[in-house]
Amino acid sequence: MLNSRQSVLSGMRAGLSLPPFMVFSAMLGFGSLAKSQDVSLLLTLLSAGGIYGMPGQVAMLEIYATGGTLLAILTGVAMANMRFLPMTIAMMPLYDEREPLYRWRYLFVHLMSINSWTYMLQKPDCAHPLNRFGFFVGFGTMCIAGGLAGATLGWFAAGSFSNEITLTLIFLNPAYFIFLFCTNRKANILCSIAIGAVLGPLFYLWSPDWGLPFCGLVAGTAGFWFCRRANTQQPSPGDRG
Amino acid sequence: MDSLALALVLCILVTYLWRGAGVALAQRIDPAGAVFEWIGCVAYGLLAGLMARVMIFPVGLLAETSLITRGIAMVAGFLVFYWLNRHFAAGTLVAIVVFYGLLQMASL
Repeated sequence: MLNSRQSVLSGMRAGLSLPPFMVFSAMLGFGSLAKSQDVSLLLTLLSAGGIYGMPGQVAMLEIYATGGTLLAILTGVAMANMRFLPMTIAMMPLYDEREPLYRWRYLFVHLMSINSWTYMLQKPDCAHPLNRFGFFVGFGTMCIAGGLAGATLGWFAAGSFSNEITLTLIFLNPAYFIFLFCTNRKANILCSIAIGAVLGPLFYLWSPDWGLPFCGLVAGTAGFWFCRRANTQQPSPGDRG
Repeated sequence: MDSLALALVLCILVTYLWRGAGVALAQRIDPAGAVFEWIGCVAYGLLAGLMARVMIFPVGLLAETSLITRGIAMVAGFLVFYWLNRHFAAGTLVAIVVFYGLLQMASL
């Protein structure tokens, strides 16, 4: 078993990989978008590191740019980032409360993004259970650092990259996650992903604010229920005579 | 403090509430139980919905590209993904290369 420092460092070493680059590429586009709307570098970085959830960041800028009220901005951002609630509930049980850093969980949970969340859930064996939270802190630090670097570069380099390169870097992020999610082997998760992918755009048309939370609720419940039902209806070996 | 800065501070707090509430609620849920499994399904369903929405109804700069461009790139990626026994890196690479190529062709 490693001490806290070593477990954080092991997470940081693991962070020298693709996921932080994904945050970097996504935030690159955000930095360019913020610059195009005359948002200062300081506020761009505060948004990237403080909100640290791309749909919410974009929602804030777009509602503000169209003259939306403060209440409209807060509602838009809250709805866009609501996914962090089920994501955190699904991730926290991976960690052991005996780990020293765990007592700072309310602080370090801020490091959870879709990248670090997916990594921890799909690779829970990346660290010893008593080192896993420290590993997450190190890995999450690399991801948020990648995001801040991307937002900075995007802000300064807005307009200097070709439009095709900027767009490809933005497209990279959703494409990466769609393929990564599809590697999941659990039937109920795959079922939830398939239903969510169909319902997400449809529910968005129904309500841009409430569509996504409802989509998750319906898709997740349906995926969970179908697979549970299929499992209970499968005859056990003893039933086959 | 200008209005954007104030909105930003409040947005940071609002976003943190979801994460903080998640930590508080997670302590009351049995990781071996059905509720935990269900919440995992909800999280994946929500993220899949978000990614599909970003692909079909993007906001921001990605909205400058056509649905056909994004669709062809993803179909090409999925063909390679399944052909190589669900190799996500290969699928992603092919999707972005095709996407870039289509953008280049469109700009000629």
